[in-house]
Amino acid sequence: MEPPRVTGYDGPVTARAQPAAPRARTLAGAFAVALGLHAYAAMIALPGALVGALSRAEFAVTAIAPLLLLAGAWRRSDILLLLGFPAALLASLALAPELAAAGTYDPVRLLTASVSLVGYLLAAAAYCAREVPPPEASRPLAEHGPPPPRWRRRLRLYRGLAALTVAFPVAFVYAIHVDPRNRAYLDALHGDRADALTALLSLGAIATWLWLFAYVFLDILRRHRRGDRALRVRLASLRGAAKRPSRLRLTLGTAAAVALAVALWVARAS
Amino acid sequence: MRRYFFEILALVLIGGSIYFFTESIAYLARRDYVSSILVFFIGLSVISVGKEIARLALVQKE
Repeated sequence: MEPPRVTGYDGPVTARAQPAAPRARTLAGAFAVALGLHAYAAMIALPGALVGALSRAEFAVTAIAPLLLLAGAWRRSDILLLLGFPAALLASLALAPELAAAGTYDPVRLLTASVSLVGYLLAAAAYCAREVPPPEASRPLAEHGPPPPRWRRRLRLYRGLAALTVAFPVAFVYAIHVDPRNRAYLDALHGDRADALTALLSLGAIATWLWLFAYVFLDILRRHRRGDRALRVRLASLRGAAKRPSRLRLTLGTAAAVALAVALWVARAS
Repeated sequence: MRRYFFEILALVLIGGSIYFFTESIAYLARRDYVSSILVFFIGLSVISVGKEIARLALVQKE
């Protein structure tokens, strides 16, 4: 029987649909535990011990984070690993904002902790990945040669967007924790409250980034997902909308940027 | 040529909005809250336009 034909280029979808081998999954779990413990040590335990920002009771509270990590790894729970552990780290930082102070981290240690945390999230996501049902239709990549130009262009843009999703949080963290000009203003104008304000700015940056990710990046890509039966009906209407670019939004966006720039110039001049 | 133009413009606009968001943080650090809000919304406008251009670039026909 001839397999059903599909239109478009489904290469990446087919390639990603393969479930991870059990051994690779176990390895990802081990990486997640190791990197998570390192992130906890670098962000909470070591600064807490060195700066003396945490009392014994507070130290005991922050120990909830590694406990959640180990429980999540044991249960292979995505809720505990991808939400519980990072939230417990944030709660620990909220308990003692001095831990997030710029003086606690030099750029190298900040980079090390960031790489650990990002590596942890990737490893935990791979460890928790569920087996997906087989696609309705697929075809091997080699059968049809290289992807068509339209898909090469799309993949180019997807890669650019993926790079930008890394650039945003890096820029935010740099502006809040490293930029000497901002640090000088924070220390000079806010005095003792500089650490608390740094923690507050970090939380604001996280919230802003999550919102931007959903509003911009996911919104662009959602219109181009394929092979997901549940999304088909929604895709049909969205594809129609995507083919009619919103001139109103373009005009409003440009006009708002210009008007706000003028307002800023007037505010700064007066 | 037009397809490359849309691709590059979308990435430049979305990437360029980072500058406005980081400037917004800088104004917050200086306790210049009004300027911070204004610059934040400039960044938001720029990234919205970039998003629309990216959407256009993705539906462009060869």
